[in-house]
Amino acid sequence: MLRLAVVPGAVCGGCDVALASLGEKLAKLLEYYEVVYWPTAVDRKLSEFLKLDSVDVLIHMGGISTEEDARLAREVSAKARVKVSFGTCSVYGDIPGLNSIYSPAEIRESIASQVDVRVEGDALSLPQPVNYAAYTDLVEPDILAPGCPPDDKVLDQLLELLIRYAETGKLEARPVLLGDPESLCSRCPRNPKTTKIVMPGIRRLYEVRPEEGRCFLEQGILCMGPATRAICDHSCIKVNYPCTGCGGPVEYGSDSGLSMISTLASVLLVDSEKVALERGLARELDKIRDVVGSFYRYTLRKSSAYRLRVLRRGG
Amino acid sequence: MSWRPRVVAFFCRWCAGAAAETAGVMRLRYDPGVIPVIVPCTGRISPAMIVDAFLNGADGVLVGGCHTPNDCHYVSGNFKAFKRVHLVRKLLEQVGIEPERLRLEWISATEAPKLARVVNDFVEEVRKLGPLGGRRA
Repeated sequence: MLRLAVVPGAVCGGCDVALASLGEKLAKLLEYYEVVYWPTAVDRKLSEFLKLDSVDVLIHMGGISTEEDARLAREVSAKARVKVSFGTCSVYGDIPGLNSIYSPAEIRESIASQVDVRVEGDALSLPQPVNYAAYTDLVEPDILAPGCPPDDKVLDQLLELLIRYAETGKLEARPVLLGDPESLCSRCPRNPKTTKIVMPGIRRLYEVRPEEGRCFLEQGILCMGPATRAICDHSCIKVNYPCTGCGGPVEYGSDSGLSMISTLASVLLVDSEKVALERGLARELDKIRDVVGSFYRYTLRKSSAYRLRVLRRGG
Repeated sequence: MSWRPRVVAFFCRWCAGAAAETAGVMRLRYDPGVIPVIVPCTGRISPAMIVDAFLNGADGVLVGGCHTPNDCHYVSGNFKAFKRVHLVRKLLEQVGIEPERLRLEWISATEAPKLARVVNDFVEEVRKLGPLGGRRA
C-alpha cells in the first residue's frame, strides 16, 4: 500500500467536497493507497502524521495564508514523492490571491483594525498572516490540478495518473497540468456558426437575460472561455452562466488576464469600429469597472499584473 | 549618474515606423532613451508585449500607429491597438502604476516632425513621473 496524504492550507472546503465526491472511484484509488492524513475525512492527528518519514502522494489544497500554512506545506512536501497541487488556490492563488493588490503591511493593518482578539485582559495570538501565496510559489509540484473546485474531467485524469503511478511507479513529464491543452472555446457547445464573433458592447449579467445556446461574447457578456484552459466540460456555460476563468490560463505560466484583454480587443464592436471611433470604444470599455477582478479573479497571484505590482512597490 | 527614463516605442511599419525612418533621414533629433521596435501593425501588439516591456525595465511604453479611422494598412489594426492600450492602462492604474506611462499616438508616415515631438514630449512626461521600479535610482 502506498501512502496518500491530503494536506490543506487556507481552504474553503470546496476542494475536499470535490475530492470526496469521487465516491466509488475514490474506493478504487483506495485499493492502492492508504490515506494517512486528510483532516476532513480521516481521523488522524497532525502530530501523528508528521511522525511518518515519507508519503508517496501528497495532495495539497488551498493557498498559503499564514506562517503555519507555509511551514506545514514545506515540511510535508519535503517528505512526498509525488506532489499534487489541487484546486486553483493551490495552483494560482484563486480569489484570496486578489489581496496581493495590497502590500502585506496593509493587509496586516486591515486585519488588526477589524479583529480584536483580547478577551478580558487575556491576549490570544492570531496566526501571523504572510504575503499570501499559492502552493506553487513554495514548491514545484509534479501534478497541477486547477479548478475551483476541480471538475470531473480533472478529477478523472488525476485518478488515472495516481493509479498508473501506483502500478508502474512512474509519472509522465513533470509538471503535468491537468485538463485539456486548449481553451474552453475550442469545444464550447455555444460555438457560433459564423467564424467571426462580434461583441455588440459590454453588458453586465443583470442587464440582459442570457440566451441559451448562444455565445456569451456575442451577447455582450464577458466570458473568460477564450483565455481559460479546458479543465471542465463547460459546467457553468451549460447552465447559462459565463465562464469566470477558474481553470486559469491555457498553458501554465501564461497570463489569462492579458489574453482576455487581447481577445476583447479582437471582438468588441469589430463591425462598427469606424463608426464608434475611439470615444465610442472607450465608452464601452469603461463599462468594465474592475479589470483585475474581472480578468484575474482566480490567477492574480501568479500573473504579470502581480509582478507589475511588486515591481512598483519595489520588491 | 542622473536617472534617465527608458522608453520602449512600438511603431507600426507603415505609419509611425516609416515616420521614424523619415525622421532619421531628416536628421531630426529625439531623446536617445527611446528604443524603437518596429512591428508589422499596432494591432499585432499584444498586451503581454507592453507588460513585458515594463517588467524588463521600461519606465514608459509608447505605441505609434496609423491615424484612425482609415489610415491603417490592415484596415482596423489601429482600433485593436486602441482597445488593448485602453484596457492595459486601466490595468496599470489598478496595480498602482500611472496610466500615463503608456501612451498611444497616431503618427502618419509623413509626420516625422510630429514623431520627434511626441517622443520628446513623452520622455519628458516619464521623466517627471520618475522611475517605475521602486528602488532604481
